[in-house]
Amino acid sequence: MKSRLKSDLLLFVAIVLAAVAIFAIITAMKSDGTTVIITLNGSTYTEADLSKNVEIDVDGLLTVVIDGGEVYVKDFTCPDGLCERSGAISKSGESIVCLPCGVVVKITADEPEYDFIN
Amino acid sequence: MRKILAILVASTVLLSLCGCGTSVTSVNRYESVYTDLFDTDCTFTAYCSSDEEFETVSNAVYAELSHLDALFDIYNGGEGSLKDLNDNKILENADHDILELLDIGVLFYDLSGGKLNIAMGSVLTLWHDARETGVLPDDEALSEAANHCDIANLIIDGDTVTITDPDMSIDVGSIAKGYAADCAAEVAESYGLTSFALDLGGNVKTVGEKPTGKWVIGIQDPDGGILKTVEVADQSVVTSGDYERYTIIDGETYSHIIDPDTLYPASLYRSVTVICESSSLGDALSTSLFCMDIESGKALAEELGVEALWVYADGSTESNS
Amino acid sequence: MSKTKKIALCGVLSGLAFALSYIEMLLPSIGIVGAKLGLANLAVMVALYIFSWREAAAVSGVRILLSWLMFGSFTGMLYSLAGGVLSFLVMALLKKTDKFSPVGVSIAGGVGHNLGQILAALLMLGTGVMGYLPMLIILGAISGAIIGIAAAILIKALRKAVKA
Repeated sequence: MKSRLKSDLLLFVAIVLAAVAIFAIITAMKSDGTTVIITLNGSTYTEADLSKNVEIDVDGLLTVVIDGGEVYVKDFTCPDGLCERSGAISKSGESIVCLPCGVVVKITADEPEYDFIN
Repeated sequence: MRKILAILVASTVLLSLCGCGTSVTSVNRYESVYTDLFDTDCTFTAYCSSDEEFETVSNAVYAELSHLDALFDIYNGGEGSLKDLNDNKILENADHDILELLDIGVLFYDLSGGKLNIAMGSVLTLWHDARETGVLPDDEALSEAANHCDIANLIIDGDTVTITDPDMSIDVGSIAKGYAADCAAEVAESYGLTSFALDLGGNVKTVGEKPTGKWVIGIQDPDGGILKTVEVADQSVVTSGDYERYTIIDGETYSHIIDPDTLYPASLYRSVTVICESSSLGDALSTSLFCMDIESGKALAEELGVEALWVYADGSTESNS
Repeated sequence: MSKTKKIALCGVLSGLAFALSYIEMLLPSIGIVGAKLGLANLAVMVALYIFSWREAAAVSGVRILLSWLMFGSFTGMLYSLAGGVLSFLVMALLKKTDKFSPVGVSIAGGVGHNLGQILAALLMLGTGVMGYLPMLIILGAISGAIIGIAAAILIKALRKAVKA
């Protein structure tokens, strides 16, 4: 019984360490983002410039707001509203996910796929 | 379990490496956004070798754009501006930028068969007020205003501009941004930049290529998303669309591009995009085409040798190439 | 244990799992996409320890199917299926090694559940969801531990009852 508790504890510690390691990697990858990519069900819906303040309506599902280098979601139509409560993102690599709507809002530092949108 | 976690961590690292696979170049991409000009967000994007270089050019570009914005402003412009001209019906020692812009306006009045008219300020003001107040302009007021839109009453003699109809006024909203982009590009080029672009709200002018290739411009699907992309170098891509600036009154959408013949917003298309070298030409032509039927529009685009794309309300498109 | 008794108990456990999913749905969400307390895992754990992996798989499967039919959307079912399957596999394997207590097995199950969900999201929505991974792993471990402790108590009590 004691050895089992010991391995339980080891397992828990290993899991926490793994999570911390992944977190560290993701944080290290974060940099100042330039482009906001919005995907709907896995394909690109639109791209926007992180430095430009706009409100983007995503297919009537929710509204993505870019304001002062921060991105957040409002006016969601999904039942849980987690996308709104996940707050604002501003760094490359960060994202807001709305599972019910199939919408992912992601910031990248890559050059945008579109330089401009007319 | 540890093994599984190790694999997971490794794949995360691999994933992250894929994301960083962009090549290292000696120039960096820089971008400035000017939010206080031409009633839109203006973006200056350039490839420069240093922060200082970009900042210097960006400041000069901003100065040029802000100078032009002040000159062409009919609401808050100062002495020597088009507001000055509209108020006093005369402008002496007019700035050469004003003279050139008015010339473009007069030229396109003829080319478009009167569909682009910079002398219909009286009508546009009524629609401008409608967008502010949310009340449709009075039909009588519109037709009264339409009596004072004869571009022949705009006299340009040397550097003196006169308006001989006291109720007529000039509005260059449909061509000013295109002209300004050309001027600002000249400024940037004078600093030796060879790869940059200016986006003045639907009015993109590119100079040179990016280090990675041509500039990519997405043409909006009016119902959301991107309809089509165009890749250009040393070209301007100018779009006039009803989604750029509009107002909704009683459930109806009214865009900002007014047909001089109906005195109501043109609604033949959702947008018209023009691709050509000069941004002044592109801006004037895209507005003209937006109000012209497809046959005469195509004929005009052919005549000027430019590529154009018409987007209809149902999302279908037509182009002349 | 007689076959009838076994079938009856499996039915009770499936019902319990289903009821627990429902209760969990009523609870306010923790505020992170994909993070769930995983209350239904309690029933799966009990089935795993009182019977074997087969019965546990059945309980878990019936629970997912019922939840889908009753109040789920198809995509919601896919996520919970991915979570359920991975969680079940991890728990069954870990129990087989006999190196962990129910708490350890449940911890792994909780993490497995959240990993499964994020993998499904990764496939359906792209790499943007990766940022949630660390938080989901930790939350899975914590909720797994809580469920594990509850399951351990329940298993002990049930074993006595079943024997009697």
